[in-house]
Amino acid sequence: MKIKSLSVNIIGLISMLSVISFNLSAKEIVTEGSTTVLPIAQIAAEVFMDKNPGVDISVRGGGSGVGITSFIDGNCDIATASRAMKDTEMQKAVGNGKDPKAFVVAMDGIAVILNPSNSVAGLTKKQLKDIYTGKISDWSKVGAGKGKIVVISRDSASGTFEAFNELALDKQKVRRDALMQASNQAIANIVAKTPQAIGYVGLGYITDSVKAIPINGIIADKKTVLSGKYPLSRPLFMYTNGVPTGLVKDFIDFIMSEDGQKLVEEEGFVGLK
Amino acid sequence: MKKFLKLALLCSVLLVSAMFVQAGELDMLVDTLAEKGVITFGEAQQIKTVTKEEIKKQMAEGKLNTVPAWVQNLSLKGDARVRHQIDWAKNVLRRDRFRLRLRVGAETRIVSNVKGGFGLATAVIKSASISTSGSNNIRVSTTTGTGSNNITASGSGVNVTDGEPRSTNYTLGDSLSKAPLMVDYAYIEYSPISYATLQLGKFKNPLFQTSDIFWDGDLNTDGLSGVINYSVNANFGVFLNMTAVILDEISTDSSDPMIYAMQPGLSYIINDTINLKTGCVIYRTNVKGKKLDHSASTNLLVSSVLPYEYDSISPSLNLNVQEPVLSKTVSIYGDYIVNNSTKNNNIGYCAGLKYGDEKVSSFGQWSVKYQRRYLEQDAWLDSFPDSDSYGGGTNVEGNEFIVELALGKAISLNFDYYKMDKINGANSGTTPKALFQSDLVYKF
Repeated sequence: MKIKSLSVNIIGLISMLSVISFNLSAKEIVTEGSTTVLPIAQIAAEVFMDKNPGVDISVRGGGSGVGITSFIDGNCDIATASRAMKDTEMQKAVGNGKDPKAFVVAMDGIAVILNPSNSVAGLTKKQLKDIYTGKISDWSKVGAGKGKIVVISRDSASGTFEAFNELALDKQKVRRDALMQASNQAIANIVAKTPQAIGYVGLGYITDSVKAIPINGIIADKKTVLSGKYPLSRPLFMYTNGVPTGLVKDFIDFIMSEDGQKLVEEEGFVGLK
Repeated sequence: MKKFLKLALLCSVLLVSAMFVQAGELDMLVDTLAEKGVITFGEAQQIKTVTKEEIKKQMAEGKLNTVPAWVQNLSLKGDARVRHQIDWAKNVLRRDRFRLRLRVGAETRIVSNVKGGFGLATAVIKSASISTSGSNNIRVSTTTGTGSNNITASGSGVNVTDGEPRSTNYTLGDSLSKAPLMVDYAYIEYSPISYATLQLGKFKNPLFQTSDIFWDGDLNTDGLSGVINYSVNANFGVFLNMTAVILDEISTDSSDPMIYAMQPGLSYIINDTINLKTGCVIYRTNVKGKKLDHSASTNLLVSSVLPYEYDSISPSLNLNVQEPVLSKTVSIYGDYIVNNSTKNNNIGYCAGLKYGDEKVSSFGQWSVKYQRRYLEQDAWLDSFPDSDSYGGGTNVEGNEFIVELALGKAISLNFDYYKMDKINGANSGTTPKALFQSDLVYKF
């Protein structure tokens, strides 16, 4: 029966892919997972490799779920995630003989900004969601004078958009007439020049030319983000298999160091130091 | 070093404490320490989060010690469908039927990269007599009785019973008889790496198809499959589906009927609103000189056997455009086939247009779909096309309209209308034919 030769071919192909995968993992540290954590892992890997010639760190994206699955299957050394492991993932990991050890490497905090001339003193999370999903289109609905709201958002490829979409919009779509911008700075600039605009940026982009407003009565600053009280904040994780040793330990230690946390802040996140 | 020891000690104490206090109380305790300047807010966040993760891990370990891993990894799924079906045909009395479909399935991870699964479904039982000389390829079967579900057969030799491969419907009636359940699929799946899987057994057709014109949705293929699905980046992925389908086993023939298929393809998210998936199947068959079970008897036969192979090329494409009109999605899709083993009556296609919600999975979501179906006599094997389309045969063309409406998260109301005719021999005898199905479906 010809099925035999086909089976041999498929098994041969899969075996070859397994060997390639094994060889890759034997020569380098592989981090895989969250696209939000990706810039932190990338910049940290670059600086760490500069300081340690001969070390090779491979940084992959794909999403938190992809990274955790890869970690459970033993295909990466460090899983990066913008959320904690789910109970089911933890059970699978433990069932597969893994010992997930969590490290919070940074906090993600997003400030909502208005033009300084705007009289709105704060928004609830629901009002913010309604504005960005199109249910509220006029400032008069949230306690200000009449005027059309100009909604500014990051483009959907950015990690900030992804975080805002999850934390503020419950993954609902941003209204179609929102102006999508490629950077935090571009949003800050437009909001500074447009009296009726609303936008969101990382904490590092709050200046005197824009007004950061409280959400649910809590203003975004390092303290409220670190404490998790600010509604638009979340911890960012790296998971290792057990207490890290060797190169993995060195890399984690570097990210958690003063120098590593400075890199975290340079990427627009809130460092833990 | 001193600070590290302090943190480690604090973590240990809190971990033990956390076993006895609520998570909220633990957070308050750590926050208070941060407020008083004993630890920084960053350290407080680290302690709170890491402690929660450790507790989660300990609970998982505790569960692991009491329940076997395969039980923890077990997932169950299924659906139940009640259908009202009306069949019309020229010069034939209208037929009304209520039909029931129940499917239940389970899957578990046996070890880290090996899964197993099986499913049961209501079935149309088919009994047949096979020759004791070994071949069950050619069956002598006759329909007897007045029952709606059972097709019985007579002949000499061993009696076998199996289920109609293209139907999981049980027609209500037969003096309140019980509905039979049969094995719908059962497989072992091995994933040597995260983007490749190998399946063995009876499993869901691994080929990417946008319609059921060549493969009925109720069919599960027997044999072996290999799937590689690799994401190059967040927007672009490539795949390669391979399968060897066992069509029959004939003890007197060393060359059993088979289908071999290989389908390279890609998926591409072009921008925020447009994405596509496409692939092309290359089929090689071993059916020449043989006759397949469950044939609709529409392929050309010479001396009661198929006169040539069905070595075919079959591209498929699905293009989604999100929210071009009234915040709904428009999909354009199609499957095409050309049988290169013959030059006559060898083309088939299904071209469709869908408008509505991309997923019909919560209350109020809906979609409407139109499909143009065209399948020449020898474009494809007549044992596999959608059985609702003129009985699942070839040499048919027509139109299909589908409406889906979600009544809740797991319950939907669907309508499906076919108007079909023969390509050769249209509008004669008992053709054209039409069929209307109203389905209430509950998933679990």
